[in-house]
Amino acid sequence: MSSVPAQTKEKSPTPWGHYLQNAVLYLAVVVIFGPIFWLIVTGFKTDAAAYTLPPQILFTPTLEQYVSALQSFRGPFFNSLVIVGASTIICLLLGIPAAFALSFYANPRNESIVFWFITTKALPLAAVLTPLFVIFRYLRLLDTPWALIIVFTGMNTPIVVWMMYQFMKDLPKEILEAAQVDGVRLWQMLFQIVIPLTRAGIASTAMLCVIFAWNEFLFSVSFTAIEWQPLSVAVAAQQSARGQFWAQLSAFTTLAIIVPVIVGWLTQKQLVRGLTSGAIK
Amino acid sequence: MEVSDRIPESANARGRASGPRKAPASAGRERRSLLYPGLIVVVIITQIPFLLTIYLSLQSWNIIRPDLGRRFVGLGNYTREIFSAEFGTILVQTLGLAAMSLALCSLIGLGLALLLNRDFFAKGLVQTLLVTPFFIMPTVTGLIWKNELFSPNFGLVTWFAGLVGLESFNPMAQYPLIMVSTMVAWQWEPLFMLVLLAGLSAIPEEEKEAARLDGCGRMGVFRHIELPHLLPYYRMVILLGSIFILQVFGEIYVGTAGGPGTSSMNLQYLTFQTGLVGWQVGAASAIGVATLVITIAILTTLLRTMNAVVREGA
Repeated sequence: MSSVPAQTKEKSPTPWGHYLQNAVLYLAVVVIFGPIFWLIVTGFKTDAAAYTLPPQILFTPTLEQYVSALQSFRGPFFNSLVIVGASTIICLLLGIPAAFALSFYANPRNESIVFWFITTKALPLAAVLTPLFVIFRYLRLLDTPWALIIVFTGMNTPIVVWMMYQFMKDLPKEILEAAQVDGVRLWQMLFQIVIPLTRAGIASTAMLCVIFAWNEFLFSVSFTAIEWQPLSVAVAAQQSARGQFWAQLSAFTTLAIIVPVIVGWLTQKQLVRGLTSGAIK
Repeated sequence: MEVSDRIPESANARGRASGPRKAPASAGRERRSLLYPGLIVVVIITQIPFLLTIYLSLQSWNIIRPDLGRRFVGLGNYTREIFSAEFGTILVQTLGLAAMSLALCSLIGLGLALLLNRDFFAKGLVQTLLVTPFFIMPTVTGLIWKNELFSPNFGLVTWFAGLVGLESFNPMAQYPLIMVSTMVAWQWEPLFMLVLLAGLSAIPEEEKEAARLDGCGRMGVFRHIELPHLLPYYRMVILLGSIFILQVFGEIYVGTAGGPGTSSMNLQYLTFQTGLVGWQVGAASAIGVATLVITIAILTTLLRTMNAVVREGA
């Protein structure tokens, strides 16, 4: 009997090993999150202070850079909101019913249809870049929000189908079958039973679409110019135009990453569940 | 929306064969009315343009030189663009970039996941901060590397390198491909960490306990319990990571602009450069088709290999 407590004691590592592992982790935080932290901090400096070496850690913060960055930030921010918002809503409208159909109606082809959706993500964007440019040019959609709304819908609808399929498969079948026997109409079933039960999943799926669309760059830089450039393109444009105003560029960049970072923080746990649940085994 | 209403009617004849669960005919129609709008939109946006890519790849067409016209050149674009030394070099760079980034992500992600799979002070905060790079725009990653960290004039790392005696330290110009790999690894390591952490926390405590009772040390537990458990998670995250890492673009565009020369370009960047900078629509389409074929070959090989590894490990 005396060996049992000894064994459980061995289970937890010695305090020193524990603290050492913590130290490594905290160091990793400094290395990995440090650059983002420093970017945010640099936005509060004057331009002269931003270039001072050794880097100033104690300084009088100023809001001057953020205020002037806001001027050039508003336009692209609005563009991003419109493009990302519209494409995400369309993706959910198309993807949620599709996922419901695939998870609810027994059909031998369902699995392969879900798989087909996800294989579209494996196609390199390069393979459709030039024809999309030619099509949008022909339809006069270049430098309008529509070009990006359309391509982001194509990019993110498969993600909605994939993730919502995983969430809906976990729903108790009895509820839906009972409702079906009671003659509840299909769309009622979707809106009154399925959507309320998978709200958390829908939220995290929508957030993932927002992050992907917000950060997308290849299509954004190819299909927009001055009028409708979203934030990802604006950051690149500011980088080449204002590289010498490092403090102001930092402020602009910080503003540009706020939305995806906060959305990402909120959704990190759900995100992994949605991605892994179907893919393991 | 009109499309989606018509298709189910026309496809109704096949509905009986698909074996729906209850009232056959109406259920099949309902299933299609829900499924087809999404399916059709995705086919139109992602598949139809590719047919046009194949068509355009057989043409010689420079968009900003309408005087040259558009003419059929057969496989001319392929022989000129694909079987060239430049394409070969850039293909090797694409693979090297992906391999380096995936290796870094796999190792760092595993290390962090093992460290996070314990109880300690401020665990939630540490995990949240470590995940953050995944949500940053690729263009911002490029900007952080190019300006904040490695700028020859005011970069933090450059300054630090000067302190320890490294003169004319400018890795963005000297080792551009390696630097792009580090950007990609920074950006994608959180995904590996989160997925592997999910794998680690799914291991039942009793299994590890049993291994310890059998005399396994920390390494033994990792080798015999944790690693075999993680293999399917590795397979999933490597496949997912490869899909995105093979087509890195924003980091290169801002960080190195593919240069110096073409030394940090990948196939995605080459397509963009040829089509949207050089306006050679035909040549860019041929490169796009080649990129697609190569990507599918790589992903299929990768999946086969990993399936074999997972089977052996299980």
